[in-house]
Amino acid sequence: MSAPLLQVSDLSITADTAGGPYDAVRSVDFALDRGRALAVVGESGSGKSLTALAIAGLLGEKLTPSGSVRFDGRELIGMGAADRRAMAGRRIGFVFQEPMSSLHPILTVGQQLEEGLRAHFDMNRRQRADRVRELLDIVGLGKARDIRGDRIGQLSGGMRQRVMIAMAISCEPELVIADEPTTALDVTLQRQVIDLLGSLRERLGVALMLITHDLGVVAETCDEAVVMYGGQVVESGPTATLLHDPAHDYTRALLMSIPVLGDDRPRLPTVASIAPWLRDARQDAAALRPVTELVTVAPGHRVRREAEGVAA
Amino acid sequence: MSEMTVPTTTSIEAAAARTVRPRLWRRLLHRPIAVVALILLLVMAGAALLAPVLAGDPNAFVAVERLRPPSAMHIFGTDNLGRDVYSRTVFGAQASLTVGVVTAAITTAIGVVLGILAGMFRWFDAIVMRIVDGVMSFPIIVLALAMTAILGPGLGTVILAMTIVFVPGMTRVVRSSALVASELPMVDSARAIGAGSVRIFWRYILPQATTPVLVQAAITFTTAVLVESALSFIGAGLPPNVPSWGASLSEARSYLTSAVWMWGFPGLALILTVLAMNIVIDNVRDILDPRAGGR
Amino acid sequence: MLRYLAQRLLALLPTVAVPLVLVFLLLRLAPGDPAAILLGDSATPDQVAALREQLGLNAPLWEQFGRFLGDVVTLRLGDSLFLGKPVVDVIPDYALVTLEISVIALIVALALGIGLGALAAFRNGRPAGRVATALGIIGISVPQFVVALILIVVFAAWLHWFNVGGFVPMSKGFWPHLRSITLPALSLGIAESAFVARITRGAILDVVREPFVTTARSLGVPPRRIGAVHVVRVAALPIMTVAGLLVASLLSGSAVVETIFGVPGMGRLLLDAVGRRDYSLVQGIVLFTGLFVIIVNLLVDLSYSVVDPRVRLGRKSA
Repeated sequence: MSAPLLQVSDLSITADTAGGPYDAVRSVDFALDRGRALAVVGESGSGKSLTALAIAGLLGEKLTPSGSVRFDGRELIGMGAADRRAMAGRRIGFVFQEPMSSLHPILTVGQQLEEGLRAHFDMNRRQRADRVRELLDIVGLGKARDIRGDRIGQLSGGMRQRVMIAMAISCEPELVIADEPTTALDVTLQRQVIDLLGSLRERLGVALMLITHDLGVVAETCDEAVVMYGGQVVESGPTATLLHDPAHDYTRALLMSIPVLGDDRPRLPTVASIAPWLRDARQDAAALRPVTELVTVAPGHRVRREAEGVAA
Repeated sequence: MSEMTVPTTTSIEAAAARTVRPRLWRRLLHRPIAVVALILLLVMAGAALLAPVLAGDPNAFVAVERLRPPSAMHIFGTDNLGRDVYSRTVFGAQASLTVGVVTAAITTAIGVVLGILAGMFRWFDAIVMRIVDGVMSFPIIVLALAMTAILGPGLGTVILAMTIVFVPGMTRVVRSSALVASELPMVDSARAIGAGSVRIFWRYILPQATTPVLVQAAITFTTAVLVESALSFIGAGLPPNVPSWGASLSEARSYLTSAVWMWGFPGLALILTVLAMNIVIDNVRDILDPRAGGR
Repeated sequence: MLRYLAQRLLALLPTVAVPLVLVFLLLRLAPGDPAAILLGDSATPDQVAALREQLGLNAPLWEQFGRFLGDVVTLRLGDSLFLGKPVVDVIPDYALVTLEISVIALIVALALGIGLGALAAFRNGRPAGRVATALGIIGISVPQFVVALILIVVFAAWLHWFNVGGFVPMSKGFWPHLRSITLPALSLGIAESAFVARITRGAILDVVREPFVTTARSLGVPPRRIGAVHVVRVAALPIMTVAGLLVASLLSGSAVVETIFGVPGMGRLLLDAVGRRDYSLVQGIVLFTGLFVIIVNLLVDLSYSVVDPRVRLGRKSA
């Protein structure tokens, strides 16, 4: 069995806030094999975006990662800036959530798509232009009018997201991290983007790390999933298992809160109603949090439980 | 429908709005440089208000005491006519600060009215803003001099010219505050529960505009002080018997190296006043800026 | 593009219209008879009456304004009372000098200001950045004429590199001419550079926070290129917006600086005209100044639309 492409161990992220240091992400572990798809699921504030940014080396100044993130055997935490830059785009691609603000307002689509190529390859103008055309084709923007000279303001939302994806794969990375790629889109566009990501996986063999809060998307695209809450992993395992046989209260709550046709429940469950002790997990003061650990309940399936033998 | 039965949204918003100002003050006072600047402004204001108490007659001169360096009797020295520089500096504060405050006040009054009208009525906006923007780009000293030619030099002309050029800035600030405020969801909800236009104006729109207006008024103040000193410097500002800082600096032109105190002290007073106000303005804007992480 | 410029021209018309109308109104509303004021104290009643006829001062105000506009457009601006020549003959030489100094000052202000501002932004929080930021705020608190005085003390009185006063026209030699306008131009330029520095710093800091900069980082774009290509294009816009204000400030300041250094520019001409109550000249200078401002603003708008083509396209995007 080959080593996983991405191995995250004990990843923690501390934020330097006005009120002191705050551990936004605590002790996250998971792994992703080549060509596979992993979903990181959680609500706003669970730490899933920060985890993604930490892996990609894109954290802001006030955020400090610690622990280990191994990509193809190399340790990313603590890596020098130049090495990080060499990897950014070339080996790890990133699709951002809001394409309207994540794309340059003035540079043209063509110019932006070339930026990754300029950074990593020694291509001449013709080669770059060819590659850009190829990329637009791959994401399904090749048949309609030539948008290379357009600015992003002239494109529709769906087109912008496709351009974003094209940029992320422009240098043929082995891993693509997509941070809520469908959240800003309406349902029909969501479908298109999901299909696109799926087809990219097949065609290019990239591994996909999908950050989302939409369980439907998870079910369709990802082989494995990691559920995060309060900066920690609360459950991880194969998607099928998590969806049909969840072991953690929070995962159960997530599933139960999906309304179905014919649902006659007067109220949808919340974290407070299903697992009140979870709220304590988000206490600022470490001493007030319940002591927990990740326990393996089945091969590849881990759950966070309160630690045995420790007084509350 | 009485607002007593209204759900808590409005009262929560109102309560939140009420806490912004004290929070601002507290945060401002935590910044050492801002505190120093505020103290400096207080000193200058004190000098302006209490000039007759703090210093002697600025126009009194003793011919034999010309161009004396600072001493026990004249702590800032004397100028080329034998007048006490300290006294002229203190009374200069009175002159310059008065011009600054009066100009800022008039500009604010007119600007607020125009800005609100522009924010509320589209037609007013279309006509007036065009004219107003045009005036903004015209060099103020040129305008002031032209008006001086016709109306004669003096305090009134100076303030009038400055007001004309500064009003556009204030109008824009008020107008954009009014426009932003009127788009806020809380205004929609206020309308939905039957609040009339007047109430909406007083309770929602006006409070939003208060701090930007105060900031703009402070900026107007600093610009007015600088422009007045420039006009007085070239002799087109305050009348010659009024000891403004600009005039003091002008009188020292032939004595730049021989009597540094003659222009050094008024000059320093001028710069420090404007600098202090600018520091306070910067800090206030910094605090109000939603972006965390300090600029 | 042409339509855009036409739109901008229309928007800038008040810049010259308002001061001119103001001058027109003030002359006629001020105490005293306008014709008598125009002719000065030594005029005879007959001369005054004749001028009144000539200027149509007996006609209703609207008619007068119409004539006034006509005169302005055809550049019939009357004669300078004290110089005895038509206003349109007097002004250009002075205007040229002011233009020269202003252009040099603008270049200095932009070069020094953008450099300082960029330093303050890219080294934000670090010593160099703090110093640059401090210089910016101190700089805007020092009036232009004080900068001039300081420069005089340092460079003329102390180092004897330059003389004060003693303007040398171009005809008497290029280098002597240049030397005589260096200090005035520098005073203006340095004084305005602080403002430019602050705007630049703010603009860059704002842009660097934008998500599209993170996207560039995610592609491995080197920091230098991010700064030069991605950041600059967007940060340049606020800077160009203030270029118009900058020019107004420079023209304002030139009146003072020309007086200090004895340079025969439009500012000093205006001051003299005001002192001598030479109204035709005052009026003419106001007109010229307004035109100046409009031309420069149009040039700035032109470059703006080159940097940000969205403006040209009328924002039908977004």
